[in-house]
Amino acid sequence: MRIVRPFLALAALGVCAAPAVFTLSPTAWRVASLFFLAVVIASGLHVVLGLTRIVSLCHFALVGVGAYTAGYLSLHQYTPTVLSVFLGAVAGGTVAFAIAFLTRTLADHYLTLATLAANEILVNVFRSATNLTGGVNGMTGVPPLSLMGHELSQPAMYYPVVACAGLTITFFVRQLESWPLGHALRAMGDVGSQIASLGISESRLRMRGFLLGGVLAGLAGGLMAHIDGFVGPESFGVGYSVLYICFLVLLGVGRLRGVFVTASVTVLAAEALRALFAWQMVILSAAAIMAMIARRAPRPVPVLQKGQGA
Amino acid sequence: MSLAQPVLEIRDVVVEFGGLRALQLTELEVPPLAGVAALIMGPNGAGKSTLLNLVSGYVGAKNGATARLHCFRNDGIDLLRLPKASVVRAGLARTFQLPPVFESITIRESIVLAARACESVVRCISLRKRNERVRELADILIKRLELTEVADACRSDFPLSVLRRAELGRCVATQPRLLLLDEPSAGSDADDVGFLIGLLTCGLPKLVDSLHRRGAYRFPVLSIGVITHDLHLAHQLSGPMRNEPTVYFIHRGVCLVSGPLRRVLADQQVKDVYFGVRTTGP
Repeated sequence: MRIVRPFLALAALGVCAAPAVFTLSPTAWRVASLFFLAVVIASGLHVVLGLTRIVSLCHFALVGVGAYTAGYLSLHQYTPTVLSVFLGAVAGGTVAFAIAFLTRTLADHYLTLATLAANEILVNVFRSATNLTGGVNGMTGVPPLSLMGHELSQPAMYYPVVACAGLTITFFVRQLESWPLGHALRAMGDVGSQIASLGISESRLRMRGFLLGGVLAGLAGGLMAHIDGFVGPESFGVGYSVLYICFLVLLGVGRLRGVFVTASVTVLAAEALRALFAWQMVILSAAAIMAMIARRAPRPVPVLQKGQGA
Repeated sequence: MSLAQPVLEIRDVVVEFGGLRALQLTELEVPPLAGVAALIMGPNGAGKSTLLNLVSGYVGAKNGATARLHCFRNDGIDLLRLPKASVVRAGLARTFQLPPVFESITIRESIVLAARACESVVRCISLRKRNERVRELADILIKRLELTEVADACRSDFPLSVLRRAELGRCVATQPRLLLLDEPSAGSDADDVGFLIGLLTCGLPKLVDSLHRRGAYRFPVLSIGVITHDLHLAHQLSGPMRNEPTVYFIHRGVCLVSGPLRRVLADQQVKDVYFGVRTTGP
């Protein structure tokens, strides 16, 4: 029961919000969809940062891998959109696994710098591989999601799909935390290389954590491509990864509630600052710095009692 | 493996840190006794922990070194060629001077993790059977190590004695053939040291024997090596009515003398180094 409580709470919230279907504007539905999309992205980051305590700066580039893969397959190969989203998740996981494999001997700052370099490489590939990605102009005309022949082109139509994805991923991540793999990831976050004293290989475990985070990032990217109908390289810069990491650390790293608060803050703030587009990142980053100063010492290692997980 | 064959055989080991020679051993063997089989002694900075870090994969040695673990196989496994986690799975577990603190998972979960990592699905026939066996082993260890009250708490501020017992539980859960303890009595009070001595000399060997009879432990015998500079602990572990462990006295990375504790402590070089006095003969 403890495991499903947050899931049930969110499902209840969704049911309560259902009567509002006919009253909310398309913008409100879109913001609600973006919130659940952000939940999927932050969940992936939660697996990598919250559980294994690895600061990965290439998370949004992995979202980009998923987005470009799904977009390309739907647009040029006429793959069914649901399948292309799935393949986007596979691509995200594959690239994340490759990064983890190549950096398996690195630790601490070196690992973080390697993920930063990986992000830059991927974003430059997005910009340069014009035939595949559309280059700096991006990929336009990605078809909307379609289920059983019905195109979900309006925000109120794709909202249930994105919300279901967000809730399912949340439930999955919550379950993962109670599985042996989740315990092992948390244990590695606690003691680092000393996890080997339990007979568990740190590098293999890290690869699994990256793989999971990459799959979730790729899934979010695939959904994003079909919701927006456009995929551009500017959406996957390292700044977004840094912003999500800042808010996750500030609002509860290692706790699932931090995922929801991070998703809420980033999406709502982005919408509120839409008019000040050029200053959006500046204001959000300044807010993150101010919050850090106000909090003085964020607790990266929360002391939990059993049952206080999320 | 014949009974006479040592459980751990170290040959021609040289460890250097930036040109500083930290360890130079030509031969060191841990006899295949149940319970405490070897004591590695020496003053601070002698190279005792370096030796432990070497055989458990945390530091490397110069070419030509071997550290063979004989786990009832004919030729043994060279630990220096294995990564850290594989060393544990091969049958050598170790503790640290400062026990690692698992803050995000409970003591029970950490013991189950260690047991699961080293329990083969093939040996247990099925995944379900393995899970049952792993949980059963964790329950037995928690009870034997008197951790029942704290086993399901998720905290970072356990007393050192609890952390040490939890670490010991994780090590035994990996079902090792050889368990190496790094300064197990450091920072412990008399009660904790008494508990530890009882465990090492009697509790753990008996527990391993009973577990092996039930098919819940890989090896019939658990040998224990203790690294310490605590003379009281050394005397207690090699007292009368017990196995006589082989004592290796290391100083400045070199093994000065080895043998039974009484003989080692009677050695003039050991007296000079350890007690800082030179007793004159008659």
